[in-house]
This record gives sequence, structure tokens and C-alpha cells, in this order.
Amino acid sequence: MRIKKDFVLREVCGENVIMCEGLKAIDFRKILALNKSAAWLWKEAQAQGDFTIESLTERLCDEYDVTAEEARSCVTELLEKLDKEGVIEK
Amino acid sequence: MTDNDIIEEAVRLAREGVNVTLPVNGNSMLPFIIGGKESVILHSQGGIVDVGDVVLAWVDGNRYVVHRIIRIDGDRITLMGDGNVGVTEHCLLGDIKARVTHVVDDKERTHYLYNRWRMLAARMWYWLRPIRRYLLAIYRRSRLSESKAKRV
Repeated sequence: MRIKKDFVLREVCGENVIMCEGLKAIDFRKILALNKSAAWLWKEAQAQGDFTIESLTERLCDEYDVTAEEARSCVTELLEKLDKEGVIEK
Repeated sequence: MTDNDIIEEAVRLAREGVNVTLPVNGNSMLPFIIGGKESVILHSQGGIVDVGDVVLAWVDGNRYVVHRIIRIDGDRITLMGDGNVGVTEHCLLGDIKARVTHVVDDKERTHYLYNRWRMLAARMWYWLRPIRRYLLAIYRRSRLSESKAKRV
């Protein structure tokens, strides 16, 4: 999976928000607020380029004090949300 | 994060020269902008506005609206929603945050708000204020039957 190229994470009023940005254009119809761990996962997914549920779960377990099961559930939930909003491509 | 936070960020970006697409709600700009379905594209207006412009403004010191300018007296601006029949809002020139240049419809088509025909229609619509109430009722009814027909 990959994050579509026009979507970026920005900080708006202290919150992490995903926006759709084209060339000199930003679409506020497609914004999504992320909590701290989801924003961390987003950055990790971007750093990995091509990522999988497993690769993100592994990194989340390394970074946070969570079980593999909890991490996988968190990653799956976020990716389902992003997929529903059309933010990632498979 | 509130709607105002989002609007203020949109204004900040528009002032940086970015084309900002912002969704709008409500019926106050019918029939030119359909809230909930259509969005607007904002441009920083650089302090220059004219009667007939649709703008994003902070009005009456308490809320943002996307409405049309109907009067300019020096620094004092009067606005009115195309879908309203008598209510006006007031603000100062500095409260005009951005000019709306285009409307994006639900099929992702972009329409320039100030071509000759739209300007003429907006001017006619302004002069039809005494009967707007009835025209809007007919318009809403026709849209309702249209959407019912689509569902069948």
C-alpha cells in the first residue's frame, strides 16, 4: 500500500490534519484529523513508501509499549479509515 | 478543532496564494451556491472588492458567512445571501477575508462566478428580491422532486 501523493499531514491549530494538496491548491473537502499515534503511523507509512499492515505493526510495537495484537488492531483501524477516505492506494 | 479554526486556516492559505476549496453548508446562497453539495474556491482579494462579489467575511462580529456584497459605503460593507429574502449582514472592509471566485459542483465541475451570464443573473436576482421568497419556494420544490425522481 502507498499514501496517494497529493495527501499531506499538516498541523492546524495544534491538531494533526491530513489534507489534499495539489499544485498551489488545497482541498478542505478532504481533511481528516488524526490523533498523536495515528499521526505517528502516517509519518511512518510515508517514510516506508510501500507499507503493509505487518510493517507498520512492527514499527508501532517498537515505538510504543503495546502488544502486537493491540498494534495490529490500531494499524488496521487507521488503514481502513484512510482507505474509506480514498487516501491510500493498494 | 472548530469550523472557525478550519476557516481561519483556509484564509491563511488563500493569503499565501494557494487556491483553497472550501465546502459550504446551508441554503443562504441559493440558487447560485448549493450548500452541502457544492464548494467554493477562495482567493485572497488583496483588499479590493466590489458590489456583486461573493466573499467570505466575518460579520456582525460573531460569525463567518459566504455571501454577496450588496453595498459599500467607504469601509462599511453590507452583505446579503442570495437565498435570503431580507436579512443583511454588516462588516468592515478588513473583515472581508477572501473572495469566492469559483463554485465546484457535485460532479467536480468548476464554474467561474463572474462571467457575463452569471453576473447578469446575479443582478437580476437582486432586483427580484420582492418575489425571491416565491421563486426560492419553486426552486426548492423542483429540486426536491428532482431528487425524488433520482431515487425512484
